[in-house]
Parts: sequence; structure tokens; C-alpha cells
Amino acid sequence: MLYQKSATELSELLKGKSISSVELTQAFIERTKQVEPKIQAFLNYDVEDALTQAKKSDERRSKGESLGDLDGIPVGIKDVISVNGSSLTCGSKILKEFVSPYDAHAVEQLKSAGAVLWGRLNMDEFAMGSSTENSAYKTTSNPWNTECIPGGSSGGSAAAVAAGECPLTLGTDTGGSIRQPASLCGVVGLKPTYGLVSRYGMVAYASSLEQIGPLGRSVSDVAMLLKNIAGHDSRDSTSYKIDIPDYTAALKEQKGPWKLGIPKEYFAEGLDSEVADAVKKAIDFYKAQGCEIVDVSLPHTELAIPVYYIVATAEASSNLARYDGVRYSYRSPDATDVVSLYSKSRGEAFGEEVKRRIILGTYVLSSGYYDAYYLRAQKVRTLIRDDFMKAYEQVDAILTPTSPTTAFKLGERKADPLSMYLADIYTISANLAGIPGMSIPCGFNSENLPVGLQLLGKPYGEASLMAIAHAFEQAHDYNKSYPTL
Amino acid sequence: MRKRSNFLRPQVENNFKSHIFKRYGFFFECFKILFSIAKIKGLHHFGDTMSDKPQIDIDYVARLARLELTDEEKSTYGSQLGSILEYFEKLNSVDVEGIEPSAHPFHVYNVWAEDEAGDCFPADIPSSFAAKTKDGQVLVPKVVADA
Repeated sequence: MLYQKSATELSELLKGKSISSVELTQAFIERTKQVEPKIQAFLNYDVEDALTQAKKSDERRSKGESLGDLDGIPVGIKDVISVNGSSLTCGSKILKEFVSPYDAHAVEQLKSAGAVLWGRLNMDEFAMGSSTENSAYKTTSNPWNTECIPGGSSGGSAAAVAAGECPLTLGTDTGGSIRQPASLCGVVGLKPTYGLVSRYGMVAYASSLEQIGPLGRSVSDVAMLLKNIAGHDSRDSTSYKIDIPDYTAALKEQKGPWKLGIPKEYFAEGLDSEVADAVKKAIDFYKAQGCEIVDVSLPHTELAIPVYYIVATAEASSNLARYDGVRYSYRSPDATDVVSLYSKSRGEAFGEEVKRRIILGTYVLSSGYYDAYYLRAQKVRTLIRDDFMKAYEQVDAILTPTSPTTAFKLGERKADPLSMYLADIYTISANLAGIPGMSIPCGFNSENLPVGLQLLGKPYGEASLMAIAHAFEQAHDYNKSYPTL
Repeated sequence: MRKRSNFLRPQVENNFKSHIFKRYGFFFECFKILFSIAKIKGLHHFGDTMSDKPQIDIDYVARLARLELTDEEKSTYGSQLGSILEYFEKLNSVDVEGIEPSAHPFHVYNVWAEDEAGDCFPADIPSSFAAKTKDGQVLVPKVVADA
């Protein structure tokens, strides 16, 4: 079936002219119509618009003017990334009517590469959550077990790839929001180094932590998409000036053996035994390939959760101040003066988790508590980054589980925010340290739920990180299995 | 006891210092040390029964955040955030003396751009997504009080 093929395979088929972009786009449209009632990954999609884009791609190709390996391939967009003229809800009621007046940098890049933009994907409101249950619009299910969460906040992006509704998607990762859902849905997801992909046009939640990144069925799919969205952009002052390597070529060129670090802190209490077994098997694979496995220590790992939830909520309380009932679509009908206009509009239109984080962030920044919480967290953030830099003096990459458990049941953790926050324990350090991280499928548990292996790399070392992941993928076929839907 | 005048504290402290320090300096310093210990431990409510869980003055913080909460939300958040702050006390287990704070993963310096005129949105675009408009202007309730 066409929808089961990876983007890399589809790109080859297009290049060989054995299929057209219209045909393959149609295949994903049909698949989406078939499984979407069960999965609910999309907030909206426009069939006509997608087919028009596909038709243009076919015209370019027939004239010999193809724009490259992504030309004609459908790419789904998380609903926190702006597409000109398209709705942009961020999974929130407060932006229900909002239509973006411009393209994000990543979307401009996709358009100039000829990609077919296919649908807007569900997410936790303003990317705050680990289960996609915080969307104001719908609950997305995990394709491997529809009673389970797909992970979050890019749950729609991961579920759409896993269910074959879209070969590639864009997500965003502030504390694991690409890697954790990729792990729980059995797909490949990558969070780039901070500054590699421009944040221009991505709605801000925690600006010092977040990055746009690719999700796909294979490492080479993710390499292909990353190559097309990475690069300097003067509209994001934190965008890094660097020549973007040919990631696809690096997968073939870099063959190891590598020195791989195993941090003992990531294999401690709280890690599910079946997840631990699958990850240990992956480590054994690398060892058998001649890689040197080194024990490393990241001693401040346990502090990453408090640091993250202080830094992220503090930044959120400031970034979300712009939703004031004046400039964006939602305004409370009961407002009497300007202060009640702000307070009522925000109180009525923000969801539970967003309000909780705004309160927490406002508190840790408030006078009297700033030093004890925010400043202290920023200092511990330095220690967390130093841990990684020290480990990278010894090793090329670090291997860990992506998530301490496989997908949990819908509703299971919703009433207990702290238990939900603990689901991010292995992913958030990479955001605090700014380093790249990815998740690849490395097995299934006894209930046939996917397990993810996380690979953490050196700053701007995406090429070797993906080459290490590719070596594992070549010898296994976890990414070739499909959920029964 | 609610700490409503929290943001005024530095000023109060300064006045307190300059006028009374000479006479009560020693006691003042003791009080300050006790207060900062209590603050770090999360025991923010002197006079309250000191529960183990730190507590947030939800009304005060919600007002700072310009966020109207229902009574039910206040009670749920109060208890959940208490547990979360209790968890945050792990941060006190590490010595941060002399450690530079990181606002960003990498050192970020000021970034300069060429001062060139470029295109900008026409006025009707921002007003098109405002909640309420009139004649191309954004409408808000009156801010200035009547004379």
C-alpha cells in the first residue's frame, strides 16, 4: 500500500515517475478518511487544496523543474506553526477564529521545496502536555491501542505518521513534545539543536527551550525533512549561522564505530522493566557492532523536572500575556472594564493546564520568590548543561529510553499533573541543555505497544546522531510494522 | 494572613533598615535569616497553621496573571501547585554558590540587523483578527476614569 511506504521510498517512486504526486496524495487522503474517526489526529484538512498542490508538483516534474526530494510529498503541520491564510488554533479556544497572516520560516522552506501541505495536527493546548488530552478540540488516540494516549504535545503529528495518514509531519519540542509521542507511537522524531531551525512563525510557549522538528517513518525520512527546514533566518535572533550538512549523505558516509554513553541516572527507579529490556537490547546491538559502550554520569538529572517546570512556566506566563481579549479572537462578553476584559477573557478561554502553568510561572517570577525558584533554576540549568558537555568529552552520543513507560491509558494521569510531568523525565534535559535528541522505535512490549530509544547528541551534531540511529534501524524492522486499524 | 503587598517589600525593607536598624539591627538580621529559610522551605504563611505542603496565595497570583479563576479552580490549583512546589524543593539539595545562571542553552549576545526599511502588514490585517473593531480601529472598554 502506498500509505505504508516511507517518504524516502515515495520520493524515489516520484523521481522514477512510477507514481504521481496526485496519486500518492490521494492515497493519504483516502487513508485519512478511513482511519481518522478512530485516531482524530487532525484538527482540519483541505482535500481540494492538497490536490491542487500535488497537481502543481506533477506539472513541475513533467517539465523537468522538480524542486528536489520533498517535491510532491505530503507533510502535516502541527497547529502551532503558521501557514499563511490557514487557521492557527494551538489547540486553544482563545485562538478559535484566528487565521495566520504569514508563513513560518519552516513552512516557507517546505513550500519552496514543493512539499504538499496536508492538514493541521492536533496538540496539547499551546504545546503544554504529554498526552494531547489538553487540546480544546479533540482527543487523539494512539494507533497501536486506541484506548491509549499518543503522547504529547505533538500527539497529532506522531499519530498521523503511525496511522499512515501522512508520511512526514512537523512537530515542536519544548520538553520532549516530538520525541515522547514519536516513542509512544512507534515512529522516528527529532528535536534539533536549539537555533538550528528558525522559530519564526511558531507560536511561543517557552522560547529558550523549543524547536520545530521532523517526524517520519524512518531516520532517512527525518533527515530529508530536517535538511529542508534547517538554516539561518534573521527573523529569529537565536537562529544559528551554520552550513547545513547533507544529512541524507551522512547516513551512508558515517559508519562508526562510535563511543556511546549510558547514563546510570536514566536506568533508575520509575523505569518500566519492559522498556528497560528493549533499550538494553539496543545497547547490546551497538556493542556487537563494535561500538564502545561507556558508563557516563549526568548527576543533575533528577533536578531537570523542577528546573524545566520553573523555566518553562515562567516563560509561558510572559509569552501568553499577549492573549488579552484585545488583539486576538476571543473576548469575554461579560467584561466591564479593561482589567476584567483581560481576566475574564483569559479565564474563560484558556484550558486547565494552561491556567495551571500561567499561575505557577507567575508565582515563580513574583517578587520574593524569584531568587528561590527562577534564579536558582537557571543556575541548576547551567549545571545540567555542564553535565552533558563533560559527558561529550568522552562519548559521541548518549543512549537512554525516551519515556519511562509505554503509552498509558487515556484519562489515567489527567487529574494528577505531577505524574504527567514525570513522564518527561528523560527528554527535558536536552531542551535545558539545547542539545539535539531523537527517538527511534526499538521494540514492543507484551501488549504490542512501541518502545522508543532516545539518542542525545552534541550541539549541531545532527548528522552523526542520525547516522548512529540509522545503523540500528538498518538492522531491525520495528519501523516496518503497522498497527491494525 | 495573605501577602498582598508582596511587591512592595524591598521598599519597606529599606525604610525599615534606615530608621530602625541601629536600634533593632541584631533582631532584624535574625528575623531576615529566619524569613529567608522559611521562604526557601516554602513555608510562606506565617500565622497559618504550618502545613507540610507549601501554599500559593492563589488570589494574589491570579490577579498578577490577570486570570479570573472559579472557586473550584482555586481550590484544585492550590492543592496541586502545593504538591508541585513541594517537589521543587529538590532544587535546594544542590549548592549553586558561584554558578552562572543560564537564560538560554547557549550564550546569546545581542544580535544586530541592518536598519533597512521592509514591507509590513497593512493596517487592516492586525485589526482583522482583533476581537472587536470599529472603523479599522481596535475597540476596548474605556481606560481613563470620568473627570
